[in-house]
Amino acid sequence: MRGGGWATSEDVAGPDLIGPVYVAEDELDVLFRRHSRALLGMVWVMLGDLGVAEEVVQDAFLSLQRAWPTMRDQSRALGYLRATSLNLVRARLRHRLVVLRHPLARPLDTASAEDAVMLSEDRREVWAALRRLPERQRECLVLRYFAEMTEQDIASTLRISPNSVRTHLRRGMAGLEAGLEVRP
Amino acid sequence: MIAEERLRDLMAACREAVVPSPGFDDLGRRAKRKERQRWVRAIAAAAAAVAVAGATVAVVERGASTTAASTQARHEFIAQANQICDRAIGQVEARRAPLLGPVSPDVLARDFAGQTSADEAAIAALHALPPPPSDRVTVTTMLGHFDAAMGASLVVTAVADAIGDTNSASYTEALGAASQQIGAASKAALDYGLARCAQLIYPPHF
Repeated sequence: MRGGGWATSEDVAGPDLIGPVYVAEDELDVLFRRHSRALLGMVWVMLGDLGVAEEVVQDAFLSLQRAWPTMRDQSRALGYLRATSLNLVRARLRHRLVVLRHPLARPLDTASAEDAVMLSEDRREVWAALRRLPERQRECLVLRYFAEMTEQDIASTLRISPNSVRTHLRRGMAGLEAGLEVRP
Repeated sequence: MIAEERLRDLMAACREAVVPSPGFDDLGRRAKRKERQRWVRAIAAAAAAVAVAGATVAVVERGASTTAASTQARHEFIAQANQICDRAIGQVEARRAPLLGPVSPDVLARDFAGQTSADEAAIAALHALPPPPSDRVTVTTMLGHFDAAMGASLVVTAVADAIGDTNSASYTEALGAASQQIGAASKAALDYGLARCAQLIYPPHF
């Protein structure tokens, strides 16, 4: 990882996320190396724009860097990153709504994930149905099926109860099925 | 394929497909960019504040200059209006019937007619004079009083012509009404600073 207050060493390695042998920047560097791509994928699925998703993940790590000295439990850094990323995704989506309401203000980024990748028609339909879901249901589904998190971890990340997570997952899946039936 | 399986398939495909751009790990550059954005926002906010302050000052100054212009326009209007009324009063004074001795209704009527033509001409000239924009309502109201006073004065003349008796109740009544209207017009003129116009439309004298 390069630049700024981050460690510039290219050989920060090792599986231990948190350990006394690392200075904070090294720990953050390791976190970035290990989790940034997964976070990027999660954000990308929600936003559909790789460039914006990269900014969101970078901002989440910068936020973590600022919060690091005061973090009481640094083993929860990954949870912090996920929660911050989700908050930033919501902010971006809200901003996108504002742009859509004021079309003259600035053209919306049109580079979509579907265009950037591969997607078959079948996958496009699923993605479209996923995007039409309410925010919380979509977040739960992505955390569950993309990040492969447990219901307990999702609850912790979203700061809601596990029962709520189950409800959102159930309703989200039902909504997804309904969306796929409406637009086969 | 049920929805859950299709979702799993999509998510797996996305996991495979996501490839960060070469500069993704350069958080330092991102931090600098965000810092620049913060500065730009701060500068924009400061510029907006300066613009708002400037606009406020401009509005205040414009208000002040508007007030000054309005005052000057009023002074000019008052000067011109008083000049018109001064000429009319001079004409009326010149035609006035002698005050000594009894005054017959005919004399009174002629006196009224002389006054009336001069007053009517003066009031028409006042109507033609453009009022200051800020005082349009006041001036229009004042001229309305003058119009009413003029009408009431004509009624007095008409009554005098008709009955030929200045002691009659009808004449007294018309005279009272005219005096009221003339008083109102006179007060309105004085309030606005038209001292000479306040003396327009003399009440009938005996």
